[in-house]
Amino acid sequence: MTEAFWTRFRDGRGVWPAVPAFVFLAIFFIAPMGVLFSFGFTEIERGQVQENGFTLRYLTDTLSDDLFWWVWWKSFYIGTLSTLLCFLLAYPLAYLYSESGRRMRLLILVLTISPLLTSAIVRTYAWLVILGGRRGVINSTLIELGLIERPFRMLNTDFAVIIGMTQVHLPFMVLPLITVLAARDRNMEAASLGMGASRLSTFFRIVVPLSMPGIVAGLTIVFALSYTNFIIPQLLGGGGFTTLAVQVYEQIVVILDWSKGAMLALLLLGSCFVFILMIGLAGNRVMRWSVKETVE
Amino acid sequence: MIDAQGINKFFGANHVLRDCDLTVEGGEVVTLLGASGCGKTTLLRCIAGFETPDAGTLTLAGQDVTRLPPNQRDVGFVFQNYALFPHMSVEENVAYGLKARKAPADQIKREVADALDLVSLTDFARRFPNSLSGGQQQRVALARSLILQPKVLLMDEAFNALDAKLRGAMQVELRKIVKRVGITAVCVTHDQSEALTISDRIAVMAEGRIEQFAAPAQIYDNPTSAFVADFIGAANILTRDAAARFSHAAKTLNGNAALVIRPENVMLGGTPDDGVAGKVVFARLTGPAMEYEVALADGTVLRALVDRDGHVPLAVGADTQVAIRNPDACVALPGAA
Ligand SMILES: Nc1ncnc2c1ncn2[C@@H]1O[C@H](COP(=O)(O)OP(=O)(O)OP(=O)(O)O)[C@@H](O)[C@H]1O
Ligand SMILES: [Mg+2]
Repeated sequence: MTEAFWTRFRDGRGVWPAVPAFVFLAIFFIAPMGVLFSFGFTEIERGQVQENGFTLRYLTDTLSDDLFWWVWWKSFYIGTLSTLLCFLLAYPLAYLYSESGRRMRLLILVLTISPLLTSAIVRTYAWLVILGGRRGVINSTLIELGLIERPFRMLNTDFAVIIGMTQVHLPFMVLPLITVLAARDRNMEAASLGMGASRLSTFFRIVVPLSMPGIVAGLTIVFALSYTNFIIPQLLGGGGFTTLAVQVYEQIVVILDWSKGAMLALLLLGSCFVFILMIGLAGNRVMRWSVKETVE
Repeated sequence: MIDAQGINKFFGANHVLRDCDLTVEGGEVVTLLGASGCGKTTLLRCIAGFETPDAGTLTLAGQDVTRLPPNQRDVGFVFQNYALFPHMSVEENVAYGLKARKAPADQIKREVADALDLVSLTDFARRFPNSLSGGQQQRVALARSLILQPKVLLMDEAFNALDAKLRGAMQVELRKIVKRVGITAVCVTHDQSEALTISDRIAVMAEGRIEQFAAPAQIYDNPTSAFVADFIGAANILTRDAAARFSHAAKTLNGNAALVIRPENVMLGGTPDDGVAGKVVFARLTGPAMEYEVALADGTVLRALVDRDGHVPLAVGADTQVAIRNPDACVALPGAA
């Protein structure tokens, strides 16, 4: 340990500024995750790690289990659909924000953020009240109006889970989109209109491609949240409903099969990373594609 | 070609354009010249349709376009910062307008090649705007507008980002291109030498008004207001009392309130009886000429540009005689200086 070392330390140069956060994450995130994932490769009986307990059994068993793939597909399609729904709802809202005056902007921002101030569980219970059986808000209204005779089954369906997730995660899509759209260079659109393009084609050929960084950020965050959420599927999907995240919860907390649960958690997290990477790469590709289009 | 009458524009309570009248003939190059913030960009954006005037009418080629959106006016616009599309190559930027007009692919290909050739950017066709120099970007912006053969080309300080040498070359180049293609152009600048180089006529603006609209020589030789005289060529503007000390000038002054004397019309040295005594307070070499500031006895400071040919430079603090070379070239103004 030389003088130069202490100089760098004192001046906060090199990697030192990252050390506190790294130490924190190492103790409270990386280490526990490592321990958890290692359970996926270990035989455990009655809470005791067995000697010479290393095994690939849980990995091979899980991957060859049809039920696993079925559950994975459910997670994937629920996550993807609610992410796309979020995007389709958020983009027009963020665009409206960017085109509005100060008051309207404030209103949109407050309405967007305020759901974050209540817990996701409370909001999910609110959906129970709205979607619930005969006495749920929607069904009872429709029956009162005489539009239907018997209540729709809305709760305990994929539909309920997707709606719930979309609502809970909407702010995370709106905020990055607002950031890029509000900061965009308006002269780009003026230039497009000035060259005779219509408003619609200006929107799709100029505004949307230039907001790509915000789109990628929003899709990434919301997909990661939706794909791994287990509270909403449990509450709005009902007893028989299951996703990968729900399975992890059940294996570890209910069935107490830690090894199986750890393996599922590892696969959930790993696949989530892969999908996020794919969104990022696809985003880059879309930019490149729109760029190369007429080069021919 | 362009006929703007009584254009007024407010941004909130800010009265940015005040009764602007601007008539531009077909094929003419007109420059809007004025200090920063005087409303040049706003007037240009009104002509393009990016802003709607709060009062006044705008006619392009005989058609009233006051309320027409920009994509229905036949106008090309080169932005102050070019506004090239960063996600499109040079080629795509130039092709954009033709594509919007749904031109056939082979026509687009041909015309894009021609347009890039016109601005000598053929080798840069596949590059992206952020990998181009300021001058190259400026030419892309120009090609992108010219390819649509607009009736009117509007350019907002298109040469700002260029170094002095390239700027001069591009100004000459632009004038050639515009004259060759034969379009009508309105340019904005706050650089008077640029205005003198490229324009058939110059509109000098101040605080949202058009102060004077005339040919460059006319603006330079016969400014109609102190502002114009000062803005173009930084003329000396003497009050009636100060001007009266110069015996020759009294005739030109003829009872008016102020007298405009160009710095190159001020003569230093000479004999006491045809001038006024003064003291050099500042001296500077400007290349072919020496520039002096000379204080007269009453405190009035005159700027003088003296040809260096056969001139013995004066030092700061030296006493000298100030005279007017050609009294007829002075301009009398009725308003106060
Ligand atoms: N969108 C706007 N909203 C409010 N005020 C504006 C807007 N655009 C311009 N202004 C104001 O209008 C006045 C004229 O602006 P303009 O851009 O026309 O000036 P300019 O002559 O082009 O100046 P410069 O030479 O600096 O480009 C300025 O006082 C400016 O602050
Ligand atoms: Mg401007």
